[in-house]
Amino acid sequence: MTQLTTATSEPISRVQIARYAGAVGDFNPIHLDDAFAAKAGLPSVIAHGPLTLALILDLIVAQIGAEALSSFDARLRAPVFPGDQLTVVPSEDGVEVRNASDVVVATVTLSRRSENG
Amino acid sequence: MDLGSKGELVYEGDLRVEPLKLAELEAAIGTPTSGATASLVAWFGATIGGDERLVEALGMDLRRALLSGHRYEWQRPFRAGETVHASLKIADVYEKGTNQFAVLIAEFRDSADELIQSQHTTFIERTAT
Repeated sequence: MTQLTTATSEPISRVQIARYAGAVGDFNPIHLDDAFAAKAGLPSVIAHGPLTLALILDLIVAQIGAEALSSFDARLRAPVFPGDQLTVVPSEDGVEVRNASDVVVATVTLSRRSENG
Repeated sequence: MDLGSKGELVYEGDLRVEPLKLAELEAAIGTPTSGATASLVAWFGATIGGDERLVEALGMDLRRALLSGHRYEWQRPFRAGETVHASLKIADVYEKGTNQFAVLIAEFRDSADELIQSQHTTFIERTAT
């Protein structure tokens, strides 16, 4: 079985967030409108949680392929902002995800299809 | 959040896995493997009925609500062009400490009623200050 290794995404851009909003139809202004995000106490808009998860998943798919995964169970620990890069670090049962400031933004438990027969 | 919304069916209907939608998602992820990744996450289950419908059903305040957990369980990736039957249900709404939580379950089945994937989503709504 292919072992996961540490991998890092490109910086998340505002255009990427807007593209994702359009692709999935999620126009929550907290992802698109800085003034709205400020009212929520945030320094800027934040990436959609599912976009963050898709980028994490993509770092895993790049290593083991989409067909190999049977489940992906994520806990989001901190918001992800434009400019952030996500680094997946293998853990005992999945990956820990850190930003460039070494803050854990998510933890993910993974199951692989081969593990489930 | 509306604690009385537990058990509510937010959405049920047929959806087509539009090649254009997959391409848009692939472009948003923007990597050499994003096509394969998009086939696993073609929809965020909680918003298949539209984010406004979800917000209305849960009585959620978007300034205080965040996604706190999400689980995908896959039987297989989505296939471009296929029609799937999707449902979204509010499985639970509860208070814990000073926060409120909502758990949603989305299921996607193929034309043979075989499960393609399920998603469990947990939102947290922080107490107003």
